[in-house]
Amino acid sequence: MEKFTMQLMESVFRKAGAFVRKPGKRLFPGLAVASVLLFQPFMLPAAAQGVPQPSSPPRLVNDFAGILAQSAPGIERLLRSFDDSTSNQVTVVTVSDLGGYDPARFAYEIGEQWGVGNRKHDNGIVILIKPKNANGNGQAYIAVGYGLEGAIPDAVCKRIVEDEMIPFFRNGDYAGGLLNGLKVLLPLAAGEISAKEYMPSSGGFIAVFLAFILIVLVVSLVGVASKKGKGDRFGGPHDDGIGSGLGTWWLLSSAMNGGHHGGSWGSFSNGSGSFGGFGGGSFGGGGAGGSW
Amino acid sequence: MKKNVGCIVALLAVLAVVAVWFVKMYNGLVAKDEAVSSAWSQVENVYQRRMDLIPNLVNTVKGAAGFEQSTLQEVVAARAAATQVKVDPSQLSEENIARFQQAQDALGSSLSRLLVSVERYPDLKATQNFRDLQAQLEGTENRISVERQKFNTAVQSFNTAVRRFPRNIVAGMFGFEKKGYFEANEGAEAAPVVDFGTQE
Repeated sequence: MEKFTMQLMESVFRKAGAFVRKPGKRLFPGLAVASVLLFQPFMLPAAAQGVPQPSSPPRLVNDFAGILAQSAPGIERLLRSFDDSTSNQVTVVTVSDLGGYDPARFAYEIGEQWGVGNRKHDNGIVILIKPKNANGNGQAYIAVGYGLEGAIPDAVCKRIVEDEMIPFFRNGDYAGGLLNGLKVLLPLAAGEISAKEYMPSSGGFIAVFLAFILIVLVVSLVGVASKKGKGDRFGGPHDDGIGSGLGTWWLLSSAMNGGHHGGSWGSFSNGSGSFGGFGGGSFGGGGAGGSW
Repeated sequence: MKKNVGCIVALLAVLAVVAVWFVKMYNGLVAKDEAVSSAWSQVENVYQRRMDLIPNLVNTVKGAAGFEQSTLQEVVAARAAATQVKVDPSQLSEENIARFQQAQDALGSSLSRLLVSVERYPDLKATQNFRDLQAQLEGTENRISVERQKFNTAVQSFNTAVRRFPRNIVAGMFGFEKKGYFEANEGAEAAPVVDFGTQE
C-alpha cells in the first residue's frame, strides 16, 4: 500500500510538473505540490457497526468479555515487547457477542479499522475470541495482515486455533489456550520458525519448540545472535521481570530476533513497556478460525 | 499604457488560476484512477489464488472412493470458463466487470456444490490434506469479499469524482469514464463463507 502510494505520488508529481512548466517555472511547482497533497487518495473506514472501538489509551489485550482475568496484564506485556522488538503488532480481542458478524469478518474489521500493524509492513495480527456462552458457540479466529500472510498461511492459523487453542478453551481456560497459541504464532510471525516446520506434525508443538531451542543454542554458540545487525547486540543476562515459564521462551525468541527496534529492553525489564498505539496496518481477509 | 499592463497582469493571473485549477482536477482524477487499477489488480490476484487452489482440490477429492465425477467436471469446466474472461485494467466498464463477475460467480457456486457433496464423505473430510485445503479455500473466499469491497470503494470514489461538476468537464476532456462495480447479487450473502458444517 505504502509502496503504491509512493509510486502514485511520483507519477502524479511528474504529470503535475509537466503541466505546470508552461505558465512559469518558479512559482508553480509549489502549488502543484500543494495540489498533489490535496488530492492524495485516502480510504474512508467502512461503516463501524458492531465492531468495538479500541480501548483508550490503546492496548494490545482488549478483554471486553472479561475472560482473561488476571492473566491480561502479563499477556499485554508479552505482546508489547513483541511489538517493540519485532514491530509486529498482535492484538487480542475478546467479546461476548459477535453481533451477527461472521468471526472472519469481525476480526478483519477490527484489524482494518483499528489499523493493527504498521502502515509500511501491514504486519498486524488480530486474535479474536468469543467464549461459549448464552449467545452461542465459542468462536476463535486469527486474522493476519497483508504483510504476514506469507509467514502465517491460513492452514496454519486453522491448526493453531483448532489444535493449540480450542482444547484449552473447551475447558474454559482462555488464558492458557491463548498463550499456547501465541507460543506458535509469535515465532512464526517473527520468522523464527517457518510454517513448514510447524505444519508436518499437527499438535507437535513440543518438537517445534525443541528444534527452536536447538537453533537458538547453535546460533548463540556461533556468536551471531545479532546477525541481522539492525539492533543492539543481545548481551548479558537481562532480568525480564516476567518470571514465568513464558519468560524463558520469550527471552529465547527475542535473542534470536536481535531486536529490530533496539533499546526496547529498558522498558521491558521494569515491566511497564509503553504501547504507542496501532500503526495503520491493513488486512486482506487472510487467516482462519474454528468453533467449539 | 499603465492600464494595459494592469490588464495583462490580471489576465495572466486569471490564466494561472485556471491552469492550477485544471492541474488539480486532472491530478485528482489520475490518483483515483490509479487507486481503482491497483484495487483491480488485487481483485484479480485473489481470484487467481482461488483458481490456483482448484487443481489441488480436484486431485484430493478425486482420490476419494466413488466420488461423483459430474460435480468435479462442473468445477473444472467453470474454472476453464473463468480463465477465459480477462479484463484489461484500462477497460473496467460496467459490462466488463459484470462479465468477469458472472464467470467467477459461476465458478464459486460450482465450488460450493462440490464442497457440499464432500459432506457425504467423512473419511475425505477428516484427512489433514483436505482440512488444509478447506482453510485455504475459506481464506480465499474471505479475501475475495474483502478485495471486492475495497475495489468498490475505490470505484465509488472515482465515479463520484468523474460525475460531479466541475470535474466532469475535465473528465470528459481526458476521457475518464465511469467504471463498473461488483454487484452483491443472488446468493452473495451465502457465498463468501464456505460453510463446511463444522458447527456442532
